[in-house]
Amino acid sequence: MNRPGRRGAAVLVVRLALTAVRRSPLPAVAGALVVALGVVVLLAGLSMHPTAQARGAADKAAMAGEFAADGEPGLLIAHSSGSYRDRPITASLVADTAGGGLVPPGLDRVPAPGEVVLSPAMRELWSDPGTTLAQRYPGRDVGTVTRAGLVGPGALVVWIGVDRDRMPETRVVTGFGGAGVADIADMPSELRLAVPLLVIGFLLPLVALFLTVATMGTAARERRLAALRLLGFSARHARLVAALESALVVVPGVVLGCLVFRLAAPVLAPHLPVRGGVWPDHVFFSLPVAAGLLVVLPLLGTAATWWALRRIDVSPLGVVRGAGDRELRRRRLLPLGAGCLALAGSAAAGHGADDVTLAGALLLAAVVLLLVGIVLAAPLLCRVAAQGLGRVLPGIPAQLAAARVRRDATGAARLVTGSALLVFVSGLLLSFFPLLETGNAAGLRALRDTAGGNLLVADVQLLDTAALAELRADPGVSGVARLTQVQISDGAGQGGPLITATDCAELSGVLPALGGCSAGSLLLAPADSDAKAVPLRTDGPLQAVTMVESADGGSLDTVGLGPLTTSEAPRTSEVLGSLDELTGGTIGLVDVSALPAAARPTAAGGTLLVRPAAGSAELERVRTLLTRATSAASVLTVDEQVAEAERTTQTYRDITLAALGCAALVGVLTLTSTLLQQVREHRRALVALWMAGMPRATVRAATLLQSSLVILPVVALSLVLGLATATTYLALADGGATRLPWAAIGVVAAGAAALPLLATALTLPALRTTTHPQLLPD
Amino acid sequence: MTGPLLVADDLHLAFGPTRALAGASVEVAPGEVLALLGPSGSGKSTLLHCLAGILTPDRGEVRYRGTRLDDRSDEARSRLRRNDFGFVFQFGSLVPELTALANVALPLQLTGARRRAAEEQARSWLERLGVADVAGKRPGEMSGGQGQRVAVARALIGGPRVVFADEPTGALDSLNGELVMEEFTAAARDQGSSVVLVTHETRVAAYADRSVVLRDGRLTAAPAWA
Ligand SMILES: Nc1ncnc2c1ncn2[C@@H]1O[C@H](COP(=O)(O)OP(=O)(O)O)[C@@H](O)[C@H]1O
Ligand SMILES: [Mg+2]
Repeated sequence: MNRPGRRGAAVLVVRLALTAVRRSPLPAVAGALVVALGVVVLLAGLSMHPTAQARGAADKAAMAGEFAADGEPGLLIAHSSGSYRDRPITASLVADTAGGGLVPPGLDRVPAPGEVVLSPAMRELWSDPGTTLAQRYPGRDVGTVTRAGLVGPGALVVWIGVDRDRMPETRVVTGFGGAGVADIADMPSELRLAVPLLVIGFLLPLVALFLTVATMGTAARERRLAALRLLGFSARHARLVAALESALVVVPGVVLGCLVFRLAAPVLAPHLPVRGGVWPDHVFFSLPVAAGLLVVLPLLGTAATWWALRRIDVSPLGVVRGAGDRELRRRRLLPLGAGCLALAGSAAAGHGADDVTLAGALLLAAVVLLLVGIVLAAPLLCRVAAQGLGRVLPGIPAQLAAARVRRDATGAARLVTGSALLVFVSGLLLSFFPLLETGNAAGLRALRDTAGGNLLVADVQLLDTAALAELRADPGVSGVARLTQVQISDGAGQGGPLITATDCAELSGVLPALGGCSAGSLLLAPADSDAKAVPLRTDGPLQAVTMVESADGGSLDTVGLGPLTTSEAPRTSEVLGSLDELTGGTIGLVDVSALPAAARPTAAGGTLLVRPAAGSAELERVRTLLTRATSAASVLTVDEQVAEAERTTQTYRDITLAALGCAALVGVLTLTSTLLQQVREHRRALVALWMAGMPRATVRAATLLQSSLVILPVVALSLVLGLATATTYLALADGGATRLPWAAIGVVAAGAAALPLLATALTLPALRTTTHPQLLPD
Repeated sequence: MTGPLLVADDLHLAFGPTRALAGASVEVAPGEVLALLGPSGSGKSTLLHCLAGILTPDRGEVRYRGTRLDDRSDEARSRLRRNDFGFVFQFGSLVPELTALANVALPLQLTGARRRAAEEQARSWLERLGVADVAGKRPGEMSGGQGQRVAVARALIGGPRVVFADEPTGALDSLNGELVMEEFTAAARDQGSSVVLVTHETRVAAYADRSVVLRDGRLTAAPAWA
């Protein structure tokens, strides 16, 4: 017979590949497990966006969305936000206008006044008297909010039935599906560039992982392939066997990973640390995606194997490394050089902000070129470092390490590629943090600085005077103040700017840092400090603009203010400015005693500030009192408001850190398996050294040195390039006003350098078992 | 067919600055056992690899049954190795992951035989070479002599026209080496295979019909005792 039958050959090839995997199952099993972990991480990453969207849709669905004019049949609804021990609560007052038949999602009927409907998680807390939530949201428990009204299984939701005339909101709701809560989809524009980087930062280590696993077992495989070639396997056949072997590792890994994700995700989803947990079916595991992975990943692995073996000619005599290394290596520096040029070009174009578009495009090009450049230049860098070390350090371990790196610089550099890219990308990603901080919620943060984070702030819906008196008298409360807004006029015209009216004595109790506010005083914000400050002539008599109700509607009237002592706040005082954050911007403060009776605050509207007694552990009880006094208005501390305003930032930060964490985990696994692989491959050499009398400690030292030799220069290069790119980006984004987060970047770099060494240390015990003379003969 | 089976004509091959072959010419007749003698580093292995189509010479040609071999495609040369050639090397000619039986059966399976039939034939070859007891063992679990006998069985099982043997007894003690050589040459002669035998030991060369000596990459006159 002259040609092997096609089928016969195929069967033989599969059998050989299977035998190889069966013969050394440990690397195969480890490889499959590593692939499985990578697939779990990948699936988690892939399901993040659809999950966020599903949650956003669920959020929207439960919010009032369609409105009609006063008097139409429908519901009156007032949503508000509360909190219990850092868990956000959504409380909604509801009143049925005329039995329109509309029912909020997740409820089977509209609660009547005096009734509440609770979500399961809410009921658990609500029925525990220690939480005071039953007092905060009082009523008879008449039903459970079902899934249609909840963003997640642990969401804290309460619907409270109230009388129509106790309802602060007058718009009639005729349908649901309102504006959802901000999610990742509503990303601030500063983050647009971050998304591709985040994806790269997330995917790179995974790709590195698959390639490593796919090309594992090279030395043993090369020996096997050479033996087969001698028997008449063509080079193509030999590569086919190798590719099949890698598929035999990757395919079970992918299946296992999909299975683990499919089984674990629904169990873990409700316990995820996001608002209300996640419904299991919001975590998307789509079969097409899994099937896609099952096709793409093995193909990727197979292609990588094919490619790896293409560069080395599998000859019947063994493996011959491709010649012409030297020319190749020079060219390897090109992308890196081009990247540096693009970076410099971007910095130059952005300087003086001549051409921001060009600078941005150049920056993006630089990022891509540098990523590729680092990978390509790494072997060269490793070799140069090895040559330098061999010259500088005299000991045998250094000589040995240098010799090994020099012999196979490309293989050595593979060890560090993942970490290097990680350092580069995280340097960039972390530089977005300070940028966000300068933009987002600056006013609220100023308020936190001046007023303290535990100050409770409530938007008054309808003031319950009895409950307010109880609140003031409570020993857990050290101060209560109310802020309302009054339109003020200097007589020049009917219109005029808004001013905050408050009882200065009370406010000073809540905000001791505020000076210049006393009985009968008018405290103006510095005139030129802010565009909002409207000049007001204070030399003449001032008037308050009031609303006069009459049978045919309302009209405006002005009433003179009482005697005033006017002063201007010192420009250095930030307290007044931070109050704007709560009132929405006014020109200053006026003591309520100066206001005419017609302009005094009524029961509705305004803001209540409550300072819990210092060190009060009873925040939740005080919050309950305040919620009742304000008819279930939103009651949040300043800290909670900051967190709310920074939610997108926080989400970005969490995702970034999670992605970096996953990448690091996957990276360590990859490194450890690569290193173990290398130890196995060098087994013969190691045994020979040991038999020649070299102590194991020296072998170990050489191995550690070899790793650091490779890691330190490459990580340093990526760090420098990452920082240069981040600096250029920050200069483009806000003229260099923002400083780099050196500490965080330093930690990442140190981690990236330490992880490979840790992985090396983990493999050292393996040296003990591999340097055994019986393993010497093949 | 008359005339030589395999011809090397003025082969030159350099590995960088090292000239491994510098005008080597040799002919192998059908059924002939030819010994390639020479000191270490003289180019014996290189010449053998060129004759088998594993290495391609820089200059000169290799002809097998009258047609050139050195310029054929990898596919075509692989086919030759499958169908017409057999190999015994000092180390590593066996697939480390497979048992002795599977290793010996492999050439038959590669040319399309069914596994059961191939293994049956392999078993009889192992018996013939006296190593039936290692059929289930892998190369790492055999002694050197057993391993080389298995390698000989695998080289001969397909009935090759030429067997290339590079220091087949190099790793064996002299008694074992002579036993293996005896069984090897006897079996090869039995089925009419030519043998190209590379060795640096004259004792091993004594099993050959004819000896040539290689020195510095070219053939010198045959030694007096040949
Ligand atoms: N792959 C190779 N790369 C570089 N030099 C080689 C290679 N193979 C053989 N040589 C050199 O070619 C010469 C001949 O080698 P070889 O044919 O193996 O000699 P022999 O088998 O007679 O001992 C030697 O000097 C050897 O060092
Ligand atoms: Mg030799």
